[in-house]
Amino acid sequence: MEERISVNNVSKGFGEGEARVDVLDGVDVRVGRHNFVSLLGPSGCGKSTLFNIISGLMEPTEGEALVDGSDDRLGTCGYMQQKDLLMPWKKIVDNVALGLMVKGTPRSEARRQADDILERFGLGGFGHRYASEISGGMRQRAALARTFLAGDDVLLLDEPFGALDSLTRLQMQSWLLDVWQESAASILFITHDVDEAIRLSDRVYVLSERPARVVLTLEIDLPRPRPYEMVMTREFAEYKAQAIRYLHPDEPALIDEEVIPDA
Amino acid sequence: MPEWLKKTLPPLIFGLALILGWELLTIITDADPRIYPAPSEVLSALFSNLSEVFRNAKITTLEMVLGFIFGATIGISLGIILAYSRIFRSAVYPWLIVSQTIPIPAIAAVLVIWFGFSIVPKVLVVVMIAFFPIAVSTVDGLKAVDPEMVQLMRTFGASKARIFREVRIPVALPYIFTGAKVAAAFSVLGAVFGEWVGAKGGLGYLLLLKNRAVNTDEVFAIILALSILGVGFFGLIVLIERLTIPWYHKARQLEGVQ
Ligand SMILES: Nc1ncnc2c1ncn2[C@@H]1O[C@H](COP(=O)(O)OP(=O)(O)OP(=O)(O)O)[C@@H](O)[C@H]1O
Ligand SMILES: [Mg+2]
Repeated sequence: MEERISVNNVSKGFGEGEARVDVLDGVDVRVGRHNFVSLLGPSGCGKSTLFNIISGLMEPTEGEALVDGSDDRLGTCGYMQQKDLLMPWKKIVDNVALGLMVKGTPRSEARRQADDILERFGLGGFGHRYASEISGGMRQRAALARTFLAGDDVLLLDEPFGALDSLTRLQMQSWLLDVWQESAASILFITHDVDEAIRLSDRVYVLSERPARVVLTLEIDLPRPRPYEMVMTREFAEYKAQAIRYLHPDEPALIDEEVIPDA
Repeated sequence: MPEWLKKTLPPLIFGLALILGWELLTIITDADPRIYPAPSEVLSALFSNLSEVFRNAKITTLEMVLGFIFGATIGISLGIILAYSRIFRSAVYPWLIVSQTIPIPAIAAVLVIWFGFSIVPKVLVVVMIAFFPIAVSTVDGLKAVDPEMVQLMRTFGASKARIFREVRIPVALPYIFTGAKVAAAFSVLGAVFGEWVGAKGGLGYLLLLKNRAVNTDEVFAIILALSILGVGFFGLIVLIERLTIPWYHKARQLEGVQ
């Protein structure tokens, strides 16, 4: 399969000498065409740093990161950072159109596409408000809309639902899955939430504490569509048990070995 | 009660009470109206000298507005250079602060020697007063940008110029307007100082004339005219601010509600 994102043996350190902090240690990550892949890792392990490298904001100390086989990455990915970063001085529609306009699409055409995607994202009629005038969930969707428009179908989503309450979060997961199914997008997704990672993804990479290494690669072979009830199935629980075991290697095994036969 | 009334009523009542108290005091104490004029006398002095006050107010307004425009232009340009060049900042910033400790009337006197009784020294005094708060607020504003917002623009492949235009300027604008409001309020002061050391017209000049003639009611009438000028200019900047950055006020109103 053609890889849209390939991260090959990437290491990254900040600072020099005594003050040096190693953040990534030989990370390999792959995202194929129209794949949904998640990174699951403890807080501060280096997930956002990896995104900064893939998006081209930073270069790795060692290894290489390629988007569609190219090393020239800046401007190729839609990158949604942990904050929604909507600009308060622009109307929502202009925020969403911003990436296209920077890349040279004329304003009227960019606005038309922004209006279209806002409609699809359930924000029709809100385009002419300012960011301060819509709710948190809506802001998140607007930021996602901007990311979809800006990225050439390669999307990096850094904990997009991290700030939402759990109810809204579940709705947004279902909604994101629908949107993704209808699009051509390949998504790399960061989360702290094991359920979220497994429910959404074709593949989950579990990362260690800093400096981050990939300690487990889970291929999630669950059928789609994946309603939320799926988290209560036995198959789901098996994936979850494995992920948790690698996320918390020092915890005594909480789950009876009988329940999960071949973890 | 509508919101605007709730806001304007208290200062209005307080002001009226002060004026009324003053009026009563002059009646009770039977004060000499030439030395302690009552508000009613001040008002009548203003109206009987209206054309003279108006003619001189136009001169002062011109000095003030010209000085403010030049001062703001210099302040914003200086602020941009200060924010972007570290060498320039470390070399120039301390001297800017020193420049603000120099008594303005002293400088104004020298300016009159250099430029005579023309409009130039008055405008220069206003420039000197106005540029500083605007320069400082421009520096602060340009540095207040969320670095992640800049990163976002970079992931779009945006150039530095584009990032400056679309992100840094809008973030800096509310700061710049705060500086501009301070500058506007002090501009009247600058114009009056400029006129005091040598002028052939203007409200400051008129004030000196009336003061020498001990026409206290007319002195107060001119003070009243000057403060109307100052408040009016301040209000104009506030209006321009509302029109330029409407999003800022919407966001602030919402925060107020929460
Ligand atoms: N530009 C930088 N300079 C120096 N250190 C940095 C820089 N960026 C990140 N770090 C450090 O790298 C480590 C990993 O940061 P990163 O933001 O990638 O973690 P994360 O996994 O995204 O955490 P979280 O889950 O809390 O978002 C942190 O210790 C952080 O202090
Ligand atoms: Mg992070």
